[in-house]
Amino acid sequence: MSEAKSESKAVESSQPTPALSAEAAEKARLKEERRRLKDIELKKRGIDTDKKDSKSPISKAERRALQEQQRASKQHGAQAKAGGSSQQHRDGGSAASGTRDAREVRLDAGAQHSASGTAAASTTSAAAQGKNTRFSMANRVIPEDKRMYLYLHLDTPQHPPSSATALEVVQSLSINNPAATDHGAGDAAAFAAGIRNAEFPPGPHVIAGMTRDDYVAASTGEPCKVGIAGPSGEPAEALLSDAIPPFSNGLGQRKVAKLSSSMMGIAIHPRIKEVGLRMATMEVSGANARVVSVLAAFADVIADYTPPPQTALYRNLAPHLSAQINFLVYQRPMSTGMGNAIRWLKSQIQNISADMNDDEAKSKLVTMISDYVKERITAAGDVIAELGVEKIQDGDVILTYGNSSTVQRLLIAARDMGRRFRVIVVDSRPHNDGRKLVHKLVAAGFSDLEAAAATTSDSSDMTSAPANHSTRGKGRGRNGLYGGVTYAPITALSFLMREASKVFLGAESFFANGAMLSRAGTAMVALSAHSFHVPVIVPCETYKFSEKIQLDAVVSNELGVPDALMYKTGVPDAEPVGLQCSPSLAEMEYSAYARDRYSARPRWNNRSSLASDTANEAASVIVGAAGKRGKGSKVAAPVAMSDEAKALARLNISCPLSEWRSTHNLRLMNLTQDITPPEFVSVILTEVGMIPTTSIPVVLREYQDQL
Amino acid sequence: MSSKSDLRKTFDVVSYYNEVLKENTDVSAPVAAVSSLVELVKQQRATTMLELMKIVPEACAQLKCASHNSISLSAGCDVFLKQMARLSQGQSAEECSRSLIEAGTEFVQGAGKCRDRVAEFGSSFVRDDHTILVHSYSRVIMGLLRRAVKQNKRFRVYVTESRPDQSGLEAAKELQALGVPCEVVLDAAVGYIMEKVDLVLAGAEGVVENGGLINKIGTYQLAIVAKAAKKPFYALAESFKFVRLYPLSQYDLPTHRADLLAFKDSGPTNDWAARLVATNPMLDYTPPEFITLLFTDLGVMTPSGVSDELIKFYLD
Repeated sequence: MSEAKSESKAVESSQPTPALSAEAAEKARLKEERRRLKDIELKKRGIDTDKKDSKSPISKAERRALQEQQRASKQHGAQAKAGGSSQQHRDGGSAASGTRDAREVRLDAGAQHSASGTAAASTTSAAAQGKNTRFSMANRVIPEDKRMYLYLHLDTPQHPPSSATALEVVQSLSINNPAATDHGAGDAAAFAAGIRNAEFPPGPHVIAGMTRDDYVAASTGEPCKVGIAGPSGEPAEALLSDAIPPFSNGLGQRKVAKLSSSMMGIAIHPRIKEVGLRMATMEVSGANARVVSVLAAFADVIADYTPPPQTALYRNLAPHLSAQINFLVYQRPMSTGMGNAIRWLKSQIQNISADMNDDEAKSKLVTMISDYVKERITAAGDVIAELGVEKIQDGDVILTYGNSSTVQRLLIAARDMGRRFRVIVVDSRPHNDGRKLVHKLVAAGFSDLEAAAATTSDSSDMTSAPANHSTRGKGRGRNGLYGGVTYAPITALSFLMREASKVFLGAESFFANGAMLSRAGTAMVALSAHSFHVPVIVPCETYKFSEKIQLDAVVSNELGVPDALMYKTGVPDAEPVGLQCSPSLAEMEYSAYARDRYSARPRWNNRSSLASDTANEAASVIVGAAGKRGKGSKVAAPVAMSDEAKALARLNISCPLSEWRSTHNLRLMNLTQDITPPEFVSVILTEVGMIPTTSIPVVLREYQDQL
Repeated sequence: MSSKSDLRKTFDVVSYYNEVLKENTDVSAPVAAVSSLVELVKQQRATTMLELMKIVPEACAQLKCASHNSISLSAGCDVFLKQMARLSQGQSAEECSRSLIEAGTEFVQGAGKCRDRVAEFGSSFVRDDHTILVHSYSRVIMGLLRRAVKQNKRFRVYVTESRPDQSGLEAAKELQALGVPCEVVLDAAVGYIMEKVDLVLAGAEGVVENGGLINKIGTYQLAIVAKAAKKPFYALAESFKFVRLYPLSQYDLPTHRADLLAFKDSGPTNDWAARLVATNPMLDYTPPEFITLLFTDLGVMTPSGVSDELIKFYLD
């Protein structure tokens, strides 16, 4: 599907129409005017731009073409069939590249490849003119409303945040190295593997506008530039609008002043920026994955850190880390596990003896960090998986919600141990994480029924299988078989809970009073389980235990991107506006009808939008048509097909939610967490054993020195 | 008993354990388990730590296999193994076994006092003119009531018959000897009698990690009825009965073996009786939310205190 899409785009863009160029000219004129205004403003502040601007800028048309070429080359890979017309521009670009400061901008084939869209073009053109014209160039490409976020988010060390520095920042936007693109795709898997193997995810050390070398130089006192770009090289603009939402409609204003003052004069390590952005875009969202990646980044920060001359490492490292932490918190509020890990790290830094050599101290800290990950997360996960397997019996029906890495691991471990049980994955908007779990479970063979078919013989013998005594746990299910996976929306919960014999939930944190903090919706599942008398089992490493107590979810919560709540009719849930779905999901089969809702193979069948009925109807037509046309090919989401897309577009009733910003008194609230009362959780599986929720304070007390 | 060298080969933990239980009816299973393990350590000739670390767990496994009800026994085994793990650090096999024997003997001797301490803590909950409902026969409960009588408290007791072994009758006999007004009620009459009762007492085979109770069949329903009638339900247990188990349901117990039981007095078998499938478990599990308080030798605690004690004991 994506291939088809990109191809059509590429075709479009490679031949600019006259109308397009007229439009471009108009736009350019406006921008030129805006630039002049800006220059005047800057002059007022005593910054001489005229002199710097004296080199002739490349023409607008040229820039436009270059930009299109960029896009084409991105979509077609390095061997872009950009055609002869654009060839000259590329030449021009590379010729100009000789003039720029090499440390500031690296632009090679790989960078062109990874960077895309307007921002990339801006960099190229800005680079072509050299750094002197940066203000004006940046001014042209970054729309007025986006620019604000730049001011808010980026300030360079050694300079107070100002419009000038922010603009300077724009100049280094989206500089990437070739590795960045490779990194994007297999990244979630890499983090998962990181949890399992306690290896830090391999990442490029250049993701944004600053290289690792720059950082090292900066930390020793030289000024450096700060840049911003998507984790896998998306245009910075998109990132700025999506990942860092303004929340202008009332809820949650970010604390700008605090950030800029505390970060003043301290460079943010590129790895921290990478991790921060990954978390902001929810690419790294699991509680464990976040801690693992943050600690890995800190290990790099520590390894790269050189204290100013004549000063001690242990004194300077802590404030240096605080700035990095501030950046992370700014991107996304810290989770409890992260807080605990960071507190631990800071106490370890304080414990460094003053007479220890800097390099020794650094390597010691790095080893300690990797040990922490191994002990508290990886090894703990092993123990938890073992405990969990004990609690799963043949014939069980396990209900789970969303996608928790610990639960996933536990279920797969149980299956590997030969347990035969069915899994119900309950999921909810806007993230629909459960699909990832379904994908993993199906890949692990959960939907294979043949292996379990032999167990039907003992049906008359009540005493042989303990689980059969249970009133629930009709694991043999509808087909008289064990095994299988069911995927359902959370709205089907009360129906499915009757079938479940055990509920496994993931937790982000446990408070001292035993209450559980977890993804929004968990409390609902736990409540339902409680009222149906189904035991709720929560695997949770002890490093996520918190000494805090929170009485309800409103006291403190994380606000998600409000736009995630919007829906587009005709677009499957996996792609809520402004968020990306995992590419693997696109490969899942599409079924327009709900008839396969309980089948083992996941299908996209429930598009829970207001117009779902009509949309489903239309989609079925589309699927039918597609089936006739492309025999054997995977049926993709209907949006990819032009005729059918038109059919859908007709159905596309305007959604009031999409205009929420301009509608008075319409607010979207996307709370990401909720609190589950302690009595709804039957047992917590931890590396110190199975404990009731009442024992959280005991564990906190007994492990005080380690936490 | 024959010479030591013979014993080394032939020492049978299981038979020794059964002997201990038979000789002294006042000894509970975990204590008997520890004393037979102490005997095993005395008899063995392990020269290396490794050997010792192999022999003892093997014996524990044997005991658990042989016993009808391995839960309370396993509590004793676990205590012993934990002690061994502690003592094994940086010691030779000989030193270790010596200190193990010492610690084990001390434990066995101290065990008798545990019951007294439970009685001491618990008897203050019994007051004049109380009506107490007791389930089955339990040595700890008897100890408590005996002490209450000694304190000149006047109270009545209802005892459940407690099928299938009718151990309630034994309790009634003992109480009558003490001069306590006592009546036996059917297990099925628990709901009927509950209104008259001021408090409910139950013993324990084992107290699990979350503070729940594993006890003679019928305890769970007793607890449910008590809670419904808003009567306090007190469980009595020595701290060596705390086990590191966490059952999620009745069927999550290691002893869940339905073949254990048959109707002993079902009379002459006929065709239909032979065709009957009898599920007749010995033990059930009472979740912590039904238990008001636990009287233990460590003090009177809420169910959540059990986990606290277990974590402290096993995780330091």
